[in-house]
This record gives sequence, C-alpha cells and structure tokens, in this order.
Amino acid sequence: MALLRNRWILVSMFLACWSLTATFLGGFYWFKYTDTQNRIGEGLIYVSIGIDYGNYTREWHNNTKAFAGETLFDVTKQVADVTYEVSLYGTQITAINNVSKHGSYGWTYWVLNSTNQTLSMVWEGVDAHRVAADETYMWYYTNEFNPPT
Amino acid sequence: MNSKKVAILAMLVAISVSTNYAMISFYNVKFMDFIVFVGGFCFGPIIGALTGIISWIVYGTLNPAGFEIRIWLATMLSEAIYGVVGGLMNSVVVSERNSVLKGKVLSACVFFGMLGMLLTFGYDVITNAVCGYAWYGSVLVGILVGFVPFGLVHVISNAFFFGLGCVPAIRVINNLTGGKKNGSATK
Repeated sequence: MALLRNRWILVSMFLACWSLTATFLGGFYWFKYTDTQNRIGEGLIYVSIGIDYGNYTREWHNNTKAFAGETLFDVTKQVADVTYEVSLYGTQITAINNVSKHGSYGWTYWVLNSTNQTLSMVWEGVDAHRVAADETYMWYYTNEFNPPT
Repeated sequence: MNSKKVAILAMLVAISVSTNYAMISFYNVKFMDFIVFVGGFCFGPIIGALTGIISWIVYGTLNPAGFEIRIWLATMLSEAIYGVVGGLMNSVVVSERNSVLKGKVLSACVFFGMLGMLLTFGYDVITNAVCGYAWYGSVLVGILVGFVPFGLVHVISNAFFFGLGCVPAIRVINNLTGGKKNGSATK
C-alpha cells in the first residue's frame, strides 16, 4: 500500500501521462504541418484557364486560384463541369460543360508559351501535369492537332 | 500450471476475444487490455502474459482488419506487457490482509487509470511503430499518424476502463476464486 500512500507517485504518473499526450499531439501536428507545407509548396498561385468549344465560342477563367503542386485536372474541375474516365493510361477528360467527346472530336489541352505567345500541346496526363504560377492553359475541342487560333 | 489455472486462463482468453469481436465497431475501444491486466493482477504475470498472447493468436489470425505477420507478432507480444505488469503490480498495490485495495479505493482508481494510460502509450508506440514500418516504411510516421485520433481514443478509453473497472473486477474475481486458495497470486 506504500505506493498508493505516496501522493508523489500519483502526481508523477499524472505528469508522465500529460507530457506523453502533449508530446504525441505536438508531434502529430508537426507532422501534419510539414506534410501540408510540402504538399502545397509555395502556397497560393494564380493560373488562367481558357475553354474553346471549337465553334468560335471561348470562355476565360483568369486568375484562377490554385495551390502549387495541383494538377491541370484539379484546376479545371474548379472552373468547369468536368466528366472524366480513369483508365490504366491515366485520367481522360470526356466532357467539359456538357460538351462531350464525339467521334474524332475530343478535348485537348494547350499551354501558352509566354515568350513567343504561341500555344503548345501538353504531352502529359491531365492528372500528372502540375500547373505553375501565372501560366495560361487552353482547353480546345477539336479533331486535329493544330493549336487554337 | 494446475487445471484450475488452465481453466481460468481459458476463461480469460474467451472473454477477452469475445468482447473484442463484440466491440468490433468501436475502433480501438476494447476490454482486452483491461482483462489481460486484471488476469495478470489476480493470477500472476505468467497467466496475464499468456492471456494476452493467446488472445492475440486467435484475434490476430481471424482479424477483420486483415492479417500482417509483423503487426500480429508485435501486438501479440505487446499485449503480454499488460499481463506482466498487472502481475507485478499485485505485490505493490494489494494490502496485507487479503482486503484488496481496502481504504484506498479512490487512490487505487486514479493509480490504475494512469497506469492504464501509460501502459497503453507503451503498447501503442510499439505497435504503431511496427505498423508504420510495415505500411509506410517509416517508424516515426507510424507512431505520429497512429496516435491521432485512434491512439488517443485507445489511451483515454483504457484510462477509463482501468480506472473504473480494476478495483471492482479484482474484488469480484478474488471473491469468486477465493484468492490465494485457488492459485491466485493475490495476497
């Protein structure tokens, strides 16, 4: 019974429980913080997204907010109603704002070269291509590989 | 080990495993640790350790969460700690006249509650470290990710079970088994 008579034993155990809980909680939130920081990188960035429906109709979503590290797929979903399929080859956009791929027509995506102001096709999966700050992208509904004019 | 001890061990394992399956929907809230500890306290560290090990042999093999041999071995051996510490605590906490924890009930409840917390911390650190190594390839990530919220739930629930349950459970078991007369380690 000596153990229970000694209040310092109970106080010590309480402090041990408290410090362990605090340490583990602190460690957990440190881990979550660094994980989030790594994930979002530099933080908030802005990109511009254009959608060309191939019938001389074009809409722009300028200064769309995104986190560094997000993909073109993530950003496109923010500005448009997107339908997609996931296969072994990655994610494929099948419709944007209810304009679906049909026959040889489908959605292609292009990035603006800020130096010569020309659009180049992005040869990377839409869910793999990470957007960068101040870039401009164009979604183009077409059946060929010529850039939108 | 005599036949009575074998029977007691079988009963403890049966209660431990059955309550674990019954509480399957309460993730990380289980009576197993408490039962193993009380088993060790009342019948000695060997019975306690065996209760934990055998319970995990059954529950770990037929585990709804899946089977991973490294995690299974870690949980099985870590569970034995409750039983061993329970057995060792017996001589420290019990009074000399076979009146278990008489007159010091509140202190004993607080003591058992905090002991349950500390033991659960130890158990979680070991098992989460092994889980982290097995799943993420990182011991540290396993320990940190495993702690919130499930480790915390485990620690707090065990603190309540140990704090509120140990004194009455030990008294009842000693009354039923006759304490030392039937091979109980209780003085």
